[in-house]
Amino acid sequence: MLELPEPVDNPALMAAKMSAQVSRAMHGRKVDVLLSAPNLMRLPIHDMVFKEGKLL
Amino acid sequence: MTVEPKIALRLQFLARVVRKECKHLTTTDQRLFGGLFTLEQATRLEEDPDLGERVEAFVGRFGRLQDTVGDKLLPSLLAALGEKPSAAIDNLDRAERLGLLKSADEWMTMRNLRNQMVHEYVEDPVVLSSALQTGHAFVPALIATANKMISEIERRGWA
Repeated sequence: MLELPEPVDNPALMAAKMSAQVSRAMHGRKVDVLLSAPNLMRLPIHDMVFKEGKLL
Repeated sequence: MTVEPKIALRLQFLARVVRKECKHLTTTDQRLFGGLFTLEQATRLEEDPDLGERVEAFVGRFGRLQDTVGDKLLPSLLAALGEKPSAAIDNLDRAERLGLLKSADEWMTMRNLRNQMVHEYVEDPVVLSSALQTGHAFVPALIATANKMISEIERRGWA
């Protein structure tokens, strides 16, 4: 998950680009990127990541 | 350069499929995106079954064309060109080097966008409308890639 302090204009494109970059760094392994930003809904998956995720 | 009849038949079949898929995607793209896909439309998808079906058709056809081109046509074309079979990411890099694909990274971005276009899964209408608008913006690049591979096959007299 990527936590952003500002609203993001095109969240789907940003997440897809980030996924592609991380996936390339991991030799093609599939990666899903979740965004958290002030203009996006806060969903249960965000709460779970905030609670259980590790800060990188 | 000649290829085995079995490979030529496979390329010819895939070229026919890809031509049809390009045509279908273009039709659905025009039907869904008279204007931009708005946040308001994303919000009322559940109450508008006709719009929901158009979204589903667009997402399905976008994904199908990308799968046929990236997972079937590209590996077959690379094999016909004498390249060794490889992992998907390496095939994409090779295609970029051969000029069959504008950008492997852009292709992977398009691939990763697809999950965010599925309206039953994506609960945030901001994300859904952003994904569909971006998918729409990628349609010319997707079709151009498909056409480039078909042109290469035709140029070599394989289809």
